[in-house]
Amino acid sequence: MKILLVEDEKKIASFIRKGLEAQGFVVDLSHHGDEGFIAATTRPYDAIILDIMLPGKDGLSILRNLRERGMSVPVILLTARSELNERLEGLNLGADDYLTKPFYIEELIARLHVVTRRASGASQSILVVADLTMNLLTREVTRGGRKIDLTAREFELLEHLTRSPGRVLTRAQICERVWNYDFDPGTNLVEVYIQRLRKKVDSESEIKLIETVRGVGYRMKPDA
Amino acid sequence: MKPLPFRIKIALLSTVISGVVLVAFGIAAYLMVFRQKMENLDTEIRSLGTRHPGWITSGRDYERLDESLGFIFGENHRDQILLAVKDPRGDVLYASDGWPEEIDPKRIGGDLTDDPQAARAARDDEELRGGHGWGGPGRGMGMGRGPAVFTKIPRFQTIATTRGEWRLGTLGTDETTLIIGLNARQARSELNRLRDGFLLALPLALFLVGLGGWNVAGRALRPMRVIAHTAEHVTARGLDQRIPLSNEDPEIARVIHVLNRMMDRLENSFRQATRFSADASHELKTPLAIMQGELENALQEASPGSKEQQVFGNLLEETQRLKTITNGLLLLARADAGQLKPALETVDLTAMLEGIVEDTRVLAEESRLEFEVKPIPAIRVQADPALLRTALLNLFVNAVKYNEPGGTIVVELETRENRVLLTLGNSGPGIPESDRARVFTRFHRVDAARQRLVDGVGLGLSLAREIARAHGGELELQESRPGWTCFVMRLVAAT
Repeated sequence: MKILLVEDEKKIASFIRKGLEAQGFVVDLSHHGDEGFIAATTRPYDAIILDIMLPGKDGLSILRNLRERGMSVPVILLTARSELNERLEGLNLGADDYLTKPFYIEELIARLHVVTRRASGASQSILVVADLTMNLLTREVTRGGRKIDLTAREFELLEHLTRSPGRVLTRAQICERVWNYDFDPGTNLVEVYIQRLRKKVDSESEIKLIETVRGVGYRMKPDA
Repeated sequence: MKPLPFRIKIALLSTVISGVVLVAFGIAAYLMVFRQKMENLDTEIRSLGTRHPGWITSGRDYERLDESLGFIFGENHRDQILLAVKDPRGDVLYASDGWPEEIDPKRIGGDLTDDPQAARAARDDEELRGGHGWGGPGRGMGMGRGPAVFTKIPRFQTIATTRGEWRLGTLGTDETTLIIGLNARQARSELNRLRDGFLLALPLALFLVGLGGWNVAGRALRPMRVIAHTAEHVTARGLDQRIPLSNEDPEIARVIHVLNRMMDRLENSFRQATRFSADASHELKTPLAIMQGELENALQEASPGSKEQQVFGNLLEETQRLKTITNGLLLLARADAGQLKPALETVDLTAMLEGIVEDTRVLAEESRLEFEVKPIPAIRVQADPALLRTALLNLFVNAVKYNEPGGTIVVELETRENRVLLTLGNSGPGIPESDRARVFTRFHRVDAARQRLVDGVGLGLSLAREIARAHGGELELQESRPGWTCFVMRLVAAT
């Protein structure tokens, strides 16, 4: 998938690019608003990640001009501020999503998947790892053909893990993604849910999919 | 007692002052007119007295005098004029038919003192006329035909009887004393009319004065109202409001000027504070974003289970903590600058609370805490869901952290009219009296010795309170004693 990233802060741009490329995305990078706008209008992208504060054309004007030209490419906005009106303006102008810095690459990737899936139809609505299948639309989960009933929270947690097999997720990352808590309750919330999930997903199978990475967090067993 | 509004005070005060002045004036005028009327009567009595010809000596003559006096007053003269005559010893020589029984002529006037001036005038007069022929009462039984000259100082008094009020004048010579009474009814009734008119006009006048006071006070206060109105706007709409300066009185203009300058300064410092929170947002969050992103990538690249990966993992968790503190501080900075504006939408508080209770149960399992959730009614509030969740979560985490192992947490949600009350109690050891005022202070944690046991930052409660306030609510410590600490959050229900 080809992504355009317009971000003037070079270090942020660099880690986003690294993170996305590690997940198989192809990333074009632009540090200037005007340059970014030209790239966005001249080359085809599956999604655009736009910082709001940019030299030259700012993110919101790029977005407005893109939509005025009838380009419906999915756009995710980035900003350091969480001011409401900026957020609302962005969404009103046709942004598909919005992320406040600092954010986890995991989160950005997850949202990229969501907006591109939304744009391209339901083709990517099924996640598969080994014999585990998750249907994101019907919210059906099966393991080796056996149906698994999950609560909403458990489903989200499993989806989060399943999206990037082999990637380690820390408790804080999981907490923020699944519970939307931007703070670390510092306790065993994630552990408890991981245990519940293991009981439902892994207890009857030979191969344990949900792995603990000691001292770090959890991950979905990487595909062989 | 609530003090009366200024306008009412001014109106009352002007009414009272004018009332006192008017009543005093009225009384004075009444007395003056009364005196004037009486003096008129006295003059009339004197002039009537001088009709007394000096030659009259016997009772029959007095009767004729009485009649001739009565003739002046026409038909009902008995109601108008009275006459009595006394000799120097005080014996009554004559009294009119209609002389009222209540009045004893003997006691009227008493002993009259000599009027040397009148006596001298009488003598001079006599000499001028040749020494005889004009005998006045001064000469006693003289045959004079001129008007009587009274050598005693006359005395006047007013006596009320069943037949009316009489003005009695006692006029005397050495030989005879004349008591002439005139009915004062007319004078009195004129006075009464005057009094009634005054009493009738007084309330009306006072009402008008009060109304005038009310109006004047209102006009005087108008600039105050403008000032108050603008000040309200300033708090409600933003600091760019100024009080308009339109040809006000110098005193008021000064107040307006001072207030406007104060608002200038306020606006300035608020702008700076606001800009700080916006700048700080960017300046703090950018490096945090870089750290977090780089660590995240490094974590994935490190070989699974390696020491590096654990270090990156730890750093990432600490970055998260830093991020939480930064977000909290920026939220508080915005609240302080009055910029914490919740993005209101209708939030199903019941569902949110149930979700949080479910999560908190998991958190509380470690300490084997019991949950006692009173039936939660379906309640919706107008709130910013993200902020409200943060506030509630902070409260719940607080209740878990400061509880004793095996303790309980009590959750109760209720509505009273349009207010929502969330009561959250825990069986913790209680907050010492001396610390209660500071539980909402930033970075304050009760019992510094527990710092190692209790993880987290002392921002939770102050953050929760600011969020409650930004929603038009409040967060308070309701009660705290050993084994029971209870917080109450008030919110406004969605209509």
